[in-house]
Amino acid sequence: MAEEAISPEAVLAELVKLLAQIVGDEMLIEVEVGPATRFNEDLALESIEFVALAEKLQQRYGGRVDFTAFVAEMDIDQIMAMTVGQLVDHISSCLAPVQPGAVT
Amino acid sequence: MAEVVANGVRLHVQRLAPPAPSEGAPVVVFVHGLILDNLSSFYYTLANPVALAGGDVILYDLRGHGLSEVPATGYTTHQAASDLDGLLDCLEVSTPVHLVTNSYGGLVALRLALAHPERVASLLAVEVNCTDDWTELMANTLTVIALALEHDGIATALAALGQRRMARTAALADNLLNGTTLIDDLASERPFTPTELARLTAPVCVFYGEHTELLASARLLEASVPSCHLEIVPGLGHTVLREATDVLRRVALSWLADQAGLTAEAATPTI
Repeated sequence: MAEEAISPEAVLAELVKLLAQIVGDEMLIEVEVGPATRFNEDLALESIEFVALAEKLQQRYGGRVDFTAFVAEMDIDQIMAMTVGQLVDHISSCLAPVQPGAVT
Repeated sequence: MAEVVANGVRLHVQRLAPPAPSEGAPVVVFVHGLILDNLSSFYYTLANPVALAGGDVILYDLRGHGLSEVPATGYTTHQAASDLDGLLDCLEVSTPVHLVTNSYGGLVALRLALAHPERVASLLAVEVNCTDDWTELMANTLTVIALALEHDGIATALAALGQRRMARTAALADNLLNGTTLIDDLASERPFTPTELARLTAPVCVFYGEHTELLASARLLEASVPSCHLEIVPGLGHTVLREATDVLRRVALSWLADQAGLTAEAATPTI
């Protein structure tokens, strides 16, 4: 199986590409997307666009990234306040290879 | 599966599976409200707890809403019920489903339950307005909004101010209210009669905020529907889904535990 690029920088770059498909390139020219960027406050992402992002993450990373389980642990206010960095960290940890000798 | 073509319209669908095993899990379908609502209002509040409690959860955007297609016509509750019936066919759901609805979504559910009683196992309707003045009230309110959007160029003004989210919302509402037959279709609706409501066989729970303007609907449903449980929550108005999510979640899980055999308290997701 090919090694997935899982560095936070690579995941951030992937996420920015997916976000561009949802909010449009113009928005991302105005806002420099980094770990502290808030989806709602800074990118004006609506709840339904968050659903679209989850969809794209599912398509991009297959079953390895469970966005819905991640979101299920949060209430609506926490979801709305989520930063790009929190999502990047979650994706990176989902993609991290299992340590040799770990119990499966 | 994200998109389904049902009843000739492309619908955005999200499905949340319960923890394994999912074979034979009770199907719970969420139906959102009108104009500015979409599946995200349930997706981020009740849908995950219900899935974790054992429900095979289906959420979708009504035609004209969210990420579904916006056809120019077909916005009656009869058409919406046909869309839902077609959606369930496409998803190969043949067992009766448990419906959880917000506001206008409750009207769609009532239409479905009357047209296809074999489709509906139970209904939890939050803040549904079904009295005989609702069509006029809705059509009038929406007409005022439609005129304001059209004449004041609100969407364009907001975009110019860099208010992306509000501009998008205004453009969406403008397109739906001024670019489709939605208002005319609503105005042409027949309200539900007590005789019709008396034909409902499925158990119904109706949930209202104490300060809602819809208490007449609450009383009509309680009086007419054979198996109807009424919950009124103190201190709340129409926006219970947003303002009292925790209360509604407890009520919904308790209701679905009785009706569908789900666990009353959702399992805590493992971190």
